[in-house]
Amino acid sequence: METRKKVRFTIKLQLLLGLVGVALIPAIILAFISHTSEEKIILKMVEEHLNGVTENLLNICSTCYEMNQRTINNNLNVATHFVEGKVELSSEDPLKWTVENQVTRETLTKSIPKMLIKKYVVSGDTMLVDKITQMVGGAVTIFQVMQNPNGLLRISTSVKKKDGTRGIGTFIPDNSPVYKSIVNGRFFRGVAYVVDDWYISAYKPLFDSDYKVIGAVYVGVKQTELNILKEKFSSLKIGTTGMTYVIDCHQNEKGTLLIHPTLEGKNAYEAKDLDGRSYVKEMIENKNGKGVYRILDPKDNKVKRKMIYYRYLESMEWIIAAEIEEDEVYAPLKELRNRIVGWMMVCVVFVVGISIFMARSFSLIIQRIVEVLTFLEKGNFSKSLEEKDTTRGDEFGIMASHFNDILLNFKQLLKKTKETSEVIAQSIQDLTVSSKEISTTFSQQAAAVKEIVATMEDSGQVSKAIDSKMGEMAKIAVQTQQNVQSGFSLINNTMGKMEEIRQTNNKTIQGIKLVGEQISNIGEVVTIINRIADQTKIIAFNAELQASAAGEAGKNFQIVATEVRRLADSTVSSTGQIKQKIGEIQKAADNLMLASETGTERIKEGHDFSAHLQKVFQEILNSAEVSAGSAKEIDTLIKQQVAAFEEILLTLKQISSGINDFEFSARSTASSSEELRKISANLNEILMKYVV
Amino acid sequence: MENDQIVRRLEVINEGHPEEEDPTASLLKKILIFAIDQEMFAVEAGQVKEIVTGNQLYYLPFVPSYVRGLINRHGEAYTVFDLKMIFENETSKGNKYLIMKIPNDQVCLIVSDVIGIMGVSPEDILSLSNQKGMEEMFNGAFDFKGKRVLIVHMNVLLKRLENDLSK
Repeated sequence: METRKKVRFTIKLQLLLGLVGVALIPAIILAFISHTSEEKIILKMVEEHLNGVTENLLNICSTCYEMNQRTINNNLNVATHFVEGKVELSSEDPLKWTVENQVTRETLTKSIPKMLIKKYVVSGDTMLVDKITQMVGGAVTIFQVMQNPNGLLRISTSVKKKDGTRGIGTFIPDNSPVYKSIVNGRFFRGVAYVVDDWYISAYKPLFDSDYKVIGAVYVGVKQTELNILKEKFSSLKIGTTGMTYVIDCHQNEKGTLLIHPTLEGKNAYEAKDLDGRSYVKEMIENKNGKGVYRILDPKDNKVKRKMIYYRYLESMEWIIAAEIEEDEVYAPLKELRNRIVGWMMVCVVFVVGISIFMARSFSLIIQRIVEVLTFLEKGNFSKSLEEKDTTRGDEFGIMASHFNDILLNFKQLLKKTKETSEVIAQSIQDLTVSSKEISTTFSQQAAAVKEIVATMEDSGQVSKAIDSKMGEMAKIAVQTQQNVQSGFSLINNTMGKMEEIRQTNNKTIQGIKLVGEQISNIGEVVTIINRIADQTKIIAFNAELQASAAGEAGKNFQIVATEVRRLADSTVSSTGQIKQKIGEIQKAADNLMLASETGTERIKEGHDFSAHLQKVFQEILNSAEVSAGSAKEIDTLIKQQVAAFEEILLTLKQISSGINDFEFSARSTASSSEELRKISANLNEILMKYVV
Repeated sequence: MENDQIVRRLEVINEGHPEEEDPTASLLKKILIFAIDQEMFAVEAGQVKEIVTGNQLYYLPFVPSYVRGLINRHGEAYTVFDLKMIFENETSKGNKYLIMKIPNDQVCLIVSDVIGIMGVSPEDILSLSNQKGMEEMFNGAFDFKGKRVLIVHMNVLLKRLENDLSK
């Protein structure tokens, strides 16, 4: 049993935090949204204000510039009136000049011819330019084109240096746009650096009689004369910390504060904020824009974030800027934030108070339920909630009442469960024993079925072997049938040959008979001869008798008769021998005949035997055909038997598998029963702990 | 014997060479030996007129059984005696006939074969007086080729015929 966890985050605390959170989070979000919206509005207003200021100043400066341009044009018209006419360079008595580059301040001595305007020498003379200056104001200068080094040399000017001397002898170097315009015969308008200062200027080339540029006339208004503009700038107030100023962007005065409340005339080109950014340089490079920079204020030596808006006036090459401290911009916002925080604190106190009250009320009943549950956890069902809890007027009272009812029901259920558990335990014990017995029986059956399957598999192998052998036997039977057919064919041939032999033998017997007859004929001939000899002998006898009867006279005749008789006897003897030979021949012929007949009989027997053999072979052939057919049928039947056997084997395997499954199920059941028994035992053990 | 030899013998006889002529030849008795089936008999050659063969035998009724019948010889009938019937009471199978030279009677003997005519010295002829039964039918016997040959006594035979016919 798990040990009871210690409550770290109580319901009371949860309710408290929940209620406070529910109350405060929307308020914080609302405050945040209000603050953010206010910040945006203020920022937008400031931006619009700064933008409007810079725009206004830009317009003012632009207007001033246009007015100066008009003035310059008028001055140039006046100056042109005075220098119009024949302009030439005198080849006589050139002047020695110490010339100075107005940019690099390098000097050198140079001999330069005099310039004559309407026969009047203007080189080094200021009368003409002073006269024009008196008439139109501003500055007037006459330049002469110089070579080696190239430049526009001031040979006469109304402009004075800071030390009061005239600024003649200085020259505009050839890299200046003024020089490039003039030598190309064009006007130049714009800002030009004259002697020591920048002027709003206009240059006009001077041509000799060959229409070659030999010089120029200049009129201009000093750009630094901006008092009117300064007043305008100082009159524009931006809050209490805001101000406007002008940064010069001309080449040599880049970063100079032309108009500034406190730092006018200082060059802030390299000034950096606390983040290391050269913000003046950045403004000059960007020309138009805005930025926020952390700058150390020298007045109170404090770091201040300044919002700067700036615009570029191209015609005067000025950056017109307006700035304000961020603290001043966000001061209303800060005040708003402080107010919100104050109200939030009040709300928190209020909400926390209410939350504590509600949490205490809710958690009390829960704590009591927890106490009762703690007893329940230990198996003690004797405790229940008190009456004051069940009679509460809220849902917790109903919950407590239901809790007591559930507890009572559970007590009864537990009691019933105990009784039932004992019965189940006994049943499970029986079930376990039965399951083990079933499992054992299934194991034995599985083993028996496996043995049957193994035996069937062996039988299947034997059946397959028989099938294979039957297949071979069927082939052999077919082969035998073919062989028997061949034998039958051979026997038919033999029968044919035997028939031929029989016919030939018959012919031979006929021949032998014929020979016998012929021999018989010979015998007849011999008989005839014998008869003749016999008759001859008789005649000889008769002759001998007659000779004997004749006495002495018949002696010769008797001799002849005797010889005739002897001849007849010899003939008879010869014929007897012939007859004997013929008899022997006849006997031989008879023997031959007999032998032939025996041969004939043997041939006939052979023929009959062949016929019998043919018949037997026919029967064998029939039997072989029947055997081949039967072998095929047996082969087919055995194949069917093997297929049936395999199906039986498959079924048996399925049965075996089923029995295995059954066995597995029985084991599982036994195991489950065992587990159930243990569980039941545990359940009983557990139930024993409960005090009802 | 070749013809030359026969002619030579005839010349010897005609020329009368004493050294080659048998001095006892005139004393020999000419005997004709014949066979009836397996038995040999003999008659005096002078009693045989002729030997014939192949003649048709005509049966003769009411005569003794040893008379086989008659044969026709040149238009003359000769009575045929069967000696085997007489001696052994069996019919012989001969087809040769010995025409006997008997005065006033024409008889012949049926024989199986004629063996030959030979001269037999009277000393070689044995008397049959000590023999019983048939001694009167034979007037002697002699040995021929290891066998005893009986000489048929024709007169006795004829007398028996006469007696039998007269009975």
